[in-house]
Amino acid sequence: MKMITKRGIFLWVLCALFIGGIIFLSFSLATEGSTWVMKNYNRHVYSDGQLIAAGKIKDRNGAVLSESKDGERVYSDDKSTRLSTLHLVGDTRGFISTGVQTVFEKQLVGYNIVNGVYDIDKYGSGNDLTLTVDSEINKVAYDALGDKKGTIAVVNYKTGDIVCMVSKPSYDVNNVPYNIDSAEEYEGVYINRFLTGLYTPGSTFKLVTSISALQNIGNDIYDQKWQCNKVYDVDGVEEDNIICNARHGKIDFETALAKSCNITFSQIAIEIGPEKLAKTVDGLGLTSPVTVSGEIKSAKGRFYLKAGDPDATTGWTGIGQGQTLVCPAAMLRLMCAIANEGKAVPFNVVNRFENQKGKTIRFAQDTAETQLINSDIASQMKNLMRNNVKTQYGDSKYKGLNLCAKSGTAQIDNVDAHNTAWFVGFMDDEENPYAFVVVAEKGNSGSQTAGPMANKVLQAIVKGTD
Amino acid sequence: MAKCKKKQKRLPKVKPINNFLMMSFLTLFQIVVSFCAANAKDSFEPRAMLAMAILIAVEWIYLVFFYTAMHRRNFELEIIAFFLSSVGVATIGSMNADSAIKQSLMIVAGVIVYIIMVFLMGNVDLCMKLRLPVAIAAILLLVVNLAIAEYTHGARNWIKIAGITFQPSEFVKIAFIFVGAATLEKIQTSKNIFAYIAFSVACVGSLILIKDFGTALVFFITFLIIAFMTSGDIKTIIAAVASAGLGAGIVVKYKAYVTKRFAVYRHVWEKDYYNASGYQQTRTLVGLASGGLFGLGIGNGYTRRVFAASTDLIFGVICEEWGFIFGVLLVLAFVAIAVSALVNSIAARSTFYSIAAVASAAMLLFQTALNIFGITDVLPLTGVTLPFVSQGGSSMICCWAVLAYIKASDVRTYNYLGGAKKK
Repeated sequence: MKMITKRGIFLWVLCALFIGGIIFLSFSLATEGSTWVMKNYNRHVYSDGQLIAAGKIKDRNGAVLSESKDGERVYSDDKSTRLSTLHLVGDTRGFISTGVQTVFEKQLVGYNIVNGVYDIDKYGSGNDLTLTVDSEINKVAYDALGDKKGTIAVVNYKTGDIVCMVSKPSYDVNNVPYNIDSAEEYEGVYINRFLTGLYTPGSTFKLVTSISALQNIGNDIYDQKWQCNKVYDVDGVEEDNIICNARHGKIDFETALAKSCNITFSQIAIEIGPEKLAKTVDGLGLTSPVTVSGEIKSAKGRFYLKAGDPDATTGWTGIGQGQTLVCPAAMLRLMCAIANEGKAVPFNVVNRFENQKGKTIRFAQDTAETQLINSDIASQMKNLMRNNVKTQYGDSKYKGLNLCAKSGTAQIDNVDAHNTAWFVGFMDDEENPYAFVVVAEKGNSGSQTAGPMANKVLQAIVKGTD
Repeated sequence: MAKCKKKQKRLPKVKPINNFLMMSFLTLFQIVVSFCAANAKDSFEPRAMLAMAILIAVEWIYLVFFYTAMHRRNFELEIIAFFLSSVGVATIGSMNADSAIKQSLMIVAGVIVYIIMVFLMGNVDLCMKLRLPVAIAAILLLVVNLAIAEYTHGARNWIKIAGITFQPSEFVKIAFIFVGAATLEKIQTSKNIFAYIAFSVACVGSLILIKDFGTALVFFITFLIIAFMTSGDIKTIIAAVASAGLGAGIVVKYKAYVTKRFAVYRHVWEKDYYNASGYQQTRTLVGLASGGLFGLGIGNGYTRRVFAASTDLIFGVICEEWGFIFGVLLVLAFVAIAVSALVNSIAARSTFYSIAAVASAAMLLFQTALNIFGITDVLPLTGVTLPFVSQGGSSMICCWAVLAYIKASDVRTYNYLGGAKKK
């Protein structure tokens, strides 16, 4: 009998393995359950591939931008709200990959391992998301862009809250155009140009060259003078000649930035040298992605200048032409840093998540600031940009904004009408600490096309809509 | 339910109240869950409660009869089995009330077989005499299966005689343990072990031929347990060699099939599989996560709509609707059965009872593991049922019969009986 008892050990082992299997399964459930629940064949969460279990998405004032009703995802009643918040919110089919509805799918469904989808089934929806964006401002920005493709974004540079983010072209999710995938007017319609657009920076890049000059040459730069004869022969090759927008004659640093003198800035770039300029660009985060609310990632800018590149390339790059491409989000982050003593705050689009019972759910936002430039250079840049508006763009055109800005007109080809118009900057105002970026494709002139767009949006923020 | 597994090695000192109190708790549980099951659909389904009523009647008749007329005091195993069966009846009743009534009637049949088996096992001499006829009957049954069965969902394990469909392999399970324990109990000759190996090869071989891979595996593991339980010396080696040969035979025969199983195993979420051979596993896991720890309530899940929801996937349905915690407690009942078999085997009246009990518990536990871990992708999916819970008559009768071996190994079973000779 003793032997028999001992030989029962194999059943004991089987019992132990069985319990081990249950522990393994429980562990898998705890670690991967949230992924399993979000499979598009989970009928508690999806119906015909449509996310039905997500809660409401609301703007900062509580206006509902998207919600689930009777097993379907429905959007704002107001057409212009739908158009102007499309890229922010996202679409039901998930084509707009940076939309909050797609990115925060899990949080909107609000699955947790203890209750599973019980509350979702009970209430018919998941957690509600309140955004930092004001949809009324979005509408103003959408209208301001007019018939241009491009983007407008405004962020609070103290908190990082994005208050406005639009991208054009857009389409009405309630009435998807039949020719959306073929028509030229809808080219790149699924892209949020603020986050994923990459543009030649044009003269806005002179801000970067300026920062690099202050970092590498120091305050001596203010004592230097340059000679602008409209054409600057860099290396004897005519094609490489840098042409200026005017004959500026003898010109100093501050005026050169205000008048956007190509010849001065190409010479400054050559003086700094390609290696140091590239280091500044990396240091300013222009070649790394911008993360919004910890989850939404922007595209990375491209900067190819490296040690040993010829002067002509360095000169052209220094004025924002050539192969350089910048993401509007990264440019806006730089504006925030200049406005906020060199510190860039992380961008947020999420104000809060609330469960079905109205209880706020913990959502950890990144709050670590990045010191992009030192505060001394930041304050010098602020003065330079303020000077641009005072002496060049005109405070009268931007009444009451105390604006600091830089325009840019990026040449794409030989046709002026094809130029990309940029206008970037911020309001130096404690009560309205907003930085902005405006990019209008085929906008011809930065200060004349993009500038007024920025003004409309900022005035709406300061004075309120309606 | 783990509360009912405690065993005492000496003479029974179980207080009478415990059995009736436990049965009352079980009845209360059954009434509540069958009421929930009856409300699972839009309209109230009284037949779901009727199915449970049949089960409640059977268990009380059983308890009262054996308590009073037969003076038995050990009912822990039956209560566990009734608990498992009632979970099955409630779940099936929430899907199809007629099936639940049929399931309850099959439980009645199972309990009758169980009672007969327990009486039979009381007479060791008779068991020894029956050994050869049972072995021959088992082989014949498999031959009949091979001859007339048709393919159903990839395996030829169902046969239809006079309008009744059943699974011969389920009944062979009962014979397999019986023959193994009876053959190897006393006569320590190599002739016996070879005879048993030959019998095992015949059983597993024919299961391979009908492509019932999961059941073949259950037999194989049971064979291993029996072999290790009985052998002391040289026979261990013979048994090990034979089992290795058998295992290799399975793998070689099923090379393409096994490769296919392993291709999807641990890859169920990938795009090539989640709508094909990984369909059941992914839906089960999605349901498992959706149900959370406490479940969505009976009738509120989607796993029930997947193919084989009431048979192979019933554990998934239970987890989604009754909660993961309940699902785990449910299958831990099989561990409780195994532990009680092990405790019984120490004090059993002869090795025949010990071997039969441990082999039976191993069979039930291993089949449970194949089922619940197969559908959750912890193990490859083999398509076996969850004992006592899954829908199916043959399987239900087999489970009760196998449970009889464990019951027979409990010294208290025959203490008041007189049918068995005391040693």
